[in-house]
Amino acid sequence: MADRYDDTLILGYLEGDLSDADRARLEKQMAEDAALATLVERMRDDRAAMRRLPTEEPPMGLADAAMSMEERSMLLGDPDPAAPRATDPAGEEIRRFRLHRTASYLAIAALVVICGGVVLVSLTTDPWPESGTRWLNEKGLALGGDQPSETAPVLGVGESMPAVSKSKTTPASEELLAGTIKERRDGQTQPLGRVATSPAPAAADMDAAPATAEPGRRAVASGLMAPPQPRDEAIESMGRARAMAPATLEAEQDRSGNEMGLAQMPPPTVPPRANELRALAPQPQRHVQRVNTVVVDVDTKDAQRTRAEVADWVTSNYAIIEPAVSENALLTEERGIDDAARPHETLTVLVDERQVPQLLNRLNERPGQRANLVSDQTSATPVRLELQAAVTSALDELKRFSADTLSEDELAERIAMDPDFDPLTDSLSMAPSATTADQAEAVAIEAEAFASSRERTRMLNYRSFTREESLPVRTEPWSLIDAANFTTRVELRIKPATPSETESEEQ
Amino acid sequence: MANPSEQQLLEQIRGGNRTALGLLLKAQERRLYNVCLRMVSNRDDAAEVCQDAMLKIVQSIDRYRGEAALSTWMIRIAMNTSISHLRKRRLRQTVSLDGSNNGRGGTDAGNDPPSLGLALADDREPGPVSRVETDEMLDRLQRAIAGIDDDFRAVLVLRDIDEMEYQQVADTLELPIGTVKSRLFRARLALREQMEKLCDPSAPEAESRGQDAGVASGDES
Repeated sequence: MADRYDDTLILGYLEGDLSDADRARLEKQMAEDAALATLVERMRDDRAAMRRLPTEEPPMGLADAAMSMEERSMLLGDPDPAAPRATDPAGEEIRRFRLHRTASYLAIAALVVICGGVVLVSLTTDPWPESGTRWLNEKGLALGGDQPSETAPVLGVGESMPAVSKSKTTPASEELLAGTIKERRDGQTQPLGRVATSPAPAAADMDAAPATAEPGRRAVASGLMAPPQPRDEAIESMGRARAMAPATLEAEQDRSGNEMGLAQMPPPTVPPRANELRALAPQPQRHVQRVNTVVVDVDTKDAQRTRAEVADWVTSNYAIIEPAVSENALLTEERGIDDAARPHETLTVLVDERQVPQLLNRLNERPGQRANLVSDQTSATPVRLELQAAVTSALDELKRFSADTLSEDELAERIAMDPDFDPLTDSLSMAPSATTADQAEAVAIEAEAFASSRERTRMLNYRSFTREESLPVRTEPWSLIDAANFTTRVELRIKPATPSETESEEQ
Repeated sequence: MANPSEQQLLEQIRGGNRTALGLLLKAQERRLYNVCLRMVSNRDDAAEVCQDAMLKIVQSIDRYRGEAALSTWMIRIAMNTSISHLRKRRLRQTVSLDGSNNGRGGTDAGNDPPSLGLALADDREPGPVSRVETDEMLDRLQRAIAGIDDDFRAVLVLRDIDEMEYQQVADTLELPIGTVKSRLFRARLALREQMEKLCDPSAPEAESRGQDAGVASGDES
């Protein structure tokens, strides 16, 4: 149909571009041809409708996404068909950028190689070169030869090693080297395995034992690091430490400055290389805090009841039974402390130092039970590490529980069936580190803080179902931060009374 | 031929200022997107095509010679990208053995958003009857636009929706002005035919074309 008409004329009419004469001519045709008039009219309507189509807002970040894609492809060096030519200024800029990027990568690689080399050298190089050994010889601290060797004899504790005898005034070194709690069996000191340090032989054994190639052990033998001591020696030295004037004790503690206890050597006896060694030693982690250890002997007729009392006190006093420490560890070789050689068990409790008298008073309230403060010492143990591990483990358990076991519908169904069902408590009971109800609650509150600060998981939804009914809410929640208040580790050595003692008491 | 502000931006971009490049893209983002949207008649496709076009703009900004306005040059890239996308889509549909579309084109209907025309009409607030009529008209119009040839659609989009002058359309499509005018008239005629076919559901061809357009615009209703 349109072929019969002048399309330029019609288009000009629609677009409003016609001269008056042309417009009059077309209008005359339209008056004579109704079909033309209809066509033009409808085309004009279409045009108007087209222009009424509203514009849409583009999706957010379209331009940014394109820019990011381009930057990424440029950084990755993707082949780019539309890459700028070499003569273009922008292309020059891109090439310069890529050159800088390559240079940066090379610099980073060089830095890594240098750091790796330094670490490698520090690990493989003998920490006691000849100069240092000569110096030790001059001071009478040598290992028995100019050069340390794997077969060189090791001097025993106290043999021409004044530094060792001096280190007896810092008994914390024993725990620092071999772990926090040790067990002596058959004359050997063994760690309970909680602290990741290698087992150290008893001092008596070291007299005859050949030296190994371990630098740390040679350092121990040379007196730069305090050797592990038997428990009785440690206690004796504790007594000496307590007898020292406060200022002296304080100075002594200051010298033990490193929180991990790796640098127990007094400054005057430090050989030239010691500072370098100290610099290379592992730095203390931030969440490891200094803890004062208090040893308390508890003579009791009913050890089980004593344990229950301690647990009750812990629950009501915001203390915490130290995780991962066996509550039933029998220390049978404490002859130096207990003349009767009675077997006893140690219960370790972390408290605020101000709570120690309260705990003692509580234990002394019951007739037939006596708690005596035996010693205290300053040590540095990774308490917070343990707490953190416990919380992390429990959190993982909670997450697994929330993710794997119950859907929301299943949860609602179980709650409908059993009003006392508390998935959170259930999950906490599954947490391996939640050894006590109180600790479990601490973990739960920690988990809540974790979840609320990061992501609101279904775990919290579970909690909201039943929290009010089943879990008491502490106004002062436990947390890792609160754990920093646990400045004192109380080792309660619970000693059941022997039958003869009981009889004599009854008489 | 870039205007002063565009010229300044261009100089900054050529000086390595990527912020200026981002500003340029953001300034043209809406226009580019709407051109792509009218060409491909599908929001998701439009976003993808628009992003591709922007990427091409970023990558080839140094090749802009100033022979047309910078915005015109950008629209040209968007238009070419859209047409390329449509051709690829048509090729995929031709190759596809899926019988639901009968090889006539259109997109995956199940994933399409609601009718573009209807969605666009939601923003207006006339009376119910008027709104329904407007909705229908816009929907039909969008389907008719989607039903005409790509070359015709390009001219229509640039002239009526982007409201370009003949010269700008010619620059964008790299066609002589005479060809643009000729193509524009034929595009209007083709659009009118599509509209009439869509208004007459008894016509089998119109129905098929209408379905094609409707699918292309994402309308399943």
